[in-house]
Amino acid sequence: MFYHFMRFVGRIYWRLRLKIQIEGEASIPLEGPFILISNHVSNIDPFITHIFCPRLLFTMTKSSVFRFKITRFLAPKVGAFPTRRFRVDPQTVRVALRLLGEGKPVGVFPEGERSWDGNFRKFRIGTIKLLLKAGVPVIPCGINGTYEIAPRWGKFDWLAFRLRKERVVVRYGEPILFGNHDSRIAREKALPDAMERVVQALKSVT
Amino acid sequence: MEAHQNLLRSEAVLGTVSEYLPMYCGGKLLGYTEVITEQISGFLLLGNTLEFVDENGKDILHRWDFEQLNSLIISSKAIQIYVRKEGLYQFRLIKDSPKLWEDSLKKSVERFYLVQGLEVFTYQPVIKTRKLTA
Repeated sequence: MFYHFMRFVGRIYWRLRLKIQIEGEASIPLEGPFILISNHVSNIDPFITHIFCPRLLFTMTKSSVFRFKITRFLAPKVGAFPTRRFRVDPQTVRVALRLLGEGKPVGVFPEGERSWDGNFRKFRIGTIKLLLKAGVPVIPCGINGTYEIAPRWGKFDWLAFRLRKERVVVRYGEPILFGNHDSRIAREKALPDAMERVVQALKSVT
Repeated sequence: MEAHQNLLRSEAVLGTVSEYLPMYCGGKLLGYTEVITEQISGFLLLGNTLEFVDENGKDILHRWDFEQLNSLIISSKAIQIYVRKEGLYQFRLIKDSPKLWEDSLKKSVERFYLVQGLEVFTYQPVIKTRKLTA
């Protein structure tokens, strides 16, 4: 309920602040689990993916976001779950697989952090392994225009409401199906090909 | 930042993890978040090793070889390193850029392993190396 409310409020804010265009929404399954992978070029990307995804999304979020009392209270209620970026965090994988097992969609930024220059960073091997292990549809989501508005090295003016709004295009691509890779050996074997497919899929929507 | 015998020298506040807080939603464990407690101000030095010295620049409070580093990342205005068998250290940089530190540290780590005939092929979540191919 709270999540729905926050999405409602968020949509009003972002529609007032930016001109947001959504493309390829039909790629998002109406039910069942999937993993949404997105490029990450700005600190406003998580808000955009979260709020404008047609389904309630549960997103891997860096653990430092939860360091404040207010975010510790709010973030889990809007579908964020923590991942520690400075070490391998098996708990994150367990939670992601549990959510998928419950039929919920999970959002991941496979680069692991924001890009400094708008180009892709190296994708994390662990994320690709998760996609292979989960065996659910993977939806590429390209966020276009946020780097120009709020690059990592710059600041975003949250209150700059203008008549001529900056344009952001959220583009969903066709689902990628990797099939089941239950064993570690199978995942290792499929890793290079899967990595290439994910990179190409994200490039096609950005 | 000052030119010194070190590649980099920056004023920083050292913080370490005081606890890992479990996060729950609907009674289910979501994961953990680290609570970092800032402890002492000093200078972070990058040379042949990574050092943290006190405010007077005399006493070395910590010194790590590059092979001890398990990972390094930027977290807001800080650079974080995860040291094998020790844990996470955070250095909140007072004036300098954490990006500069991340890039410089990565170069130093790369150079360290290169001498041993290894190349770093990933930095995150942990630093991983492989034998250099000719």
